[in-house]
Amino acid sequence: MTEHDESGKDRSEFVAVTPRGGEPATDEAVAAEPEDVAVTEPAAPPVDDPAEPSQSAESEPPAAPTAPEPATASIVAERPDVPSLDKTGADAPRTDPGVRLPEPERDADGGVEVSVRVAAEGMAAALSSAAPVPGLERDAEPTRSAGPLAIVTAVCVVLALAAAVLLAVTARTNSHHRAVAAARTAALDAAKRETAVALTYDYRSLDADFQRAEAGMSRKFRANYARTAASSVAPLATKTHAITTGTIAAGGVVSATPDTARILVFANQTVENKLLNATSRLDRSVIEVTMVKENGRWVIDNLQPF
Amino acid sequence: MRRGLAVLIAVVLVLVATGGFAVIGVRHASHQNSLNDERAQVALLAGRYAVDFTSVDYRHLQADFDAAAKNATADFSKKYLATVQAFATLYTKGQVVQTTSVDLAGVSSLTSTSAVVLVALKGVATNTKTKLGTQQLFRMQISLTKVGDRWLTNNVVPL
Repeated sequence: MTEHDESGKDRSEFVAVTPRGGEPATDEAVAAEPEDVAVTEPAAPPVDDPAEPSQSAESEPPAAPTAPEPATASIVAERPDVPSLDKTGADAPRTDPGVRLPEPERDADGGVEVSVRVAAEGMAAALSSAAPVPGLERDAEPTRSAGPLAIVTAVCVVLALAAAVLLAVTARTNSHHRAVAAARTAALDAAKRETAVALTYDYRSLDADFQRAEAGMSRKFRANYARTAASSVAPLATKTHAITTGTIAAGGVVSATPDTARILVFANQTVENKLLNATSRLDRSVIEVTMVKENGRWVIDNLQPF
Repeated sequence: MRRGLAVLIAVVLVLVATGGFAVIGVRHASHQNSLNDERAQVALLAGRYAVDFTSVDYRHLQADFDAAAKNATADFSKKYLATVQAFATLYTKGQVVQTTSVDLAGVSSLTSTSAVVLVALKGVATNTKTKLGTQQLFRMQISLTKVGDRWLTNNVVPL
């Protein structure tokens, strides 16, 4: 049987007999050129162009139907100096499809001699050959076609993951920015409102006024304020009949986080009491108001007048 | 092959979508970071300008006025110089020296081109009558506008 490699070169001098469909090749094929016959896996797939079935060589019985040549034949075909033995027939040793070990060499008496050297040379020749490696080629073909696609897909996946990470980071950053912006507005409004309340009291309704002011303060500051109000403000206000009204001239944000803020407040406090010669007095003050978010509400955590 | 292409197309779509949102997010974050930088900058500048507007020394009045006016818009600079000239004689006669420093500044409002900043200043003033100096508290509202890449004062309101 003549074998053609991919380039169409006739390699009839090395005959590989390939049983079709697992059927043993004819004994004549083995007998014709025992040294040049390679053993192939019966189920080994064809590699050479199936459209061009191998032509029978002069040593090949014409009656023997030739299947498309298994690529395993190329192992020996690439190295004409390396004889190989094709043991065809039902008792031929089987190897895994696609992986074919060099076969034992027949000696002069027709026996089989295992030659490690020859096997190694044959394998090396096959691996270094430009010809397709049987079995491997079958596996490699879809890999070659999917290779670039897989690489592009992998690159895109990596890029998409990187973009997702970037998106997550920026989303978190933007969320923080939004929270701080909201804190600025809410804390500023609350600071103006609650500071004005804290600066407003009437000696005739001190308890209610203080309670109203404490409602806009944090738990921590509320205790301090209550202590000061009870010990200092209330006695003096009662004694002088003080009536004060606080208003806020302006306010600005010194700094803010989602849960805390420092607010600069320009407060005006109109004071009336019986000690004043005039009807009232306007006190202008500068107050740094520390605000905290407590239970979802912005409340005063400290008042620091300058 | 078709399956591989389908997977690739899906991945590319995901990439485009995530990448697009990421770009938008990065631009938004960058804008916010820029605004935060501006916020810190306008607070700092407003404090500096407020010191310039409130610090005078009768020995170099014009230089002090000019120093304050150079960081103001053309219109406000003109108004400011016209106003302070009226006090120049009084300052010189009374040998007024006033130095101020920023206690605290807070941003009342901010856009990419305008800002309103509150500045609290402490000042010490001396004159022929008070050689030891009297302490004063200033409450200034400085309005800034961005001209080119510079923030300039376009109004000062004592509160």
